[in-house]
Amino acid sequence: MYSHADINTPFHIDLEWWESRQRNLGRFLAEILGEEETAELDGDPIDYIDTETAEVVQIDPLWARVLTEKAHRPDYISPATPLTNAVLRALIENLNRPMTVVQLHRRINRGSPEALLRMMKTARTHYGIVPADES
Amino acid sequence: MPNRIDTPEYWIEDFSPTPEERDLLIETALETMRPYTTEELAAIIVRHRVEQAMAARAACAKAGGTPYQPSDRFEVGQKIVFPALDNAVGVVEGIRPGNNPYYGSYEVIQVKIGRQKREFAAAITWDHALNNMEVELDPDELTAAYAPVVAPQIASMLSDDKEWLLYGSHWVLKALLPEINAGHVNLAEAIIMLAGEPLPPEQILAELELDEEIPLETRSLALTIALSGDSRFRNVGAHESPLWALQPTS
Repeated sequence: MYSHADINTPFHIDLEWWESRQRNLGRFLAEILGEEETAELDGDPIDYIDTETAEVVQIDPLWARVLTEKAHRPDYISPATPLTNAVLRALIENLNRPMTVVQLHRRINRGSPEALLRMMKTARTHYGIVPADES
Repeated sequence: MPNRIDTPEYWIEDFSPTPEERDLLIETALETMRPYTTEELAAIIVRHRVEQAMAARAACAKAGGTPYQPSDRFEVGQKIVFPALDNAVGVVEGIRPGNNPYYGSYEVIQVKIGRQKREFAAAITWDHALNNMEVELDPDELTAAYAPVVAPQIASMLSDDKEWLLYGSHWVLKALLPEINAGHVNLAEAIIMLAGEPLPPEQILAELELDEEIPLETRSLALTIALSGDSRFRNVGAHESPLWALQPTS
């Protein structure tokens, strides 16, 4: 548990954590796409159009494919998705813009915000998900 | 991104009453001089915010901005209003081709909004939610939908405010309550005694000669508050519609 974090603390994926541990977020994204071969996050950034505002952001092609091809589907985050995995998917869907536990809970729609907050320590260990003001 | 005012997220996540809205409630109560339920006060604030948003939109339209639709084409120098971004206004500074084949053929406009340069899709040929967005706001509809949502926050704000008094389900400005002195209370005792039956405050008030410019419901509330604090009286009616009787003498 983070001593300073509560259900209103914004969390995000610490991408430097992934690099420092030689973890490959691209592989995780490739798994979501059902393409098991190793994929690297090294393509030239391409456009992603926000589904609500139509604002364009430039992101990695693999990440963009997850958002355009998978994130809108009901099974992207389902009751069967492991909880820490669901948190990572929710942040990927949100372009890694920080989300509070309340917002994550609303997206994942399981358990309670308090229970999800307790689980965030595991999310740090597995996926480098930390309070946004920490990294 | 701020949530749009016509979405539940705005009222659940973003809403917090401002000092100006606190003053608005005081001004409204001073004008009408009557008590209000929490829901009525919440409705005043919701309606005010929606009307402010409508006024802002009207001002944007008057300023000549084109409402942003991602299916439209834009030109450099064109002024655009973004309803989905709380009516932010920006100017197109550049246009480039889109580079994600998933979306087919489209353009990307570079827009300066305030000091920020942001990019938005243009000339898209597929159905984006914004293309179907109903931008008209309906104050009646939004007030009915969201006043109950923000009512707890309004109650919390007023309970911390020494200007307001809550009695039953009604809030009243303390300054509006007419003074009920010992003479009034003694007279109320005599009126009830002579009637020989419990009386509503409105009936007792008919004999008390309080300032009739003050609305009856405010005078009734003042009398009810005074009688409820006096051991000679007991309310044998409902909390919201009291009937005052005398305590039985032992």
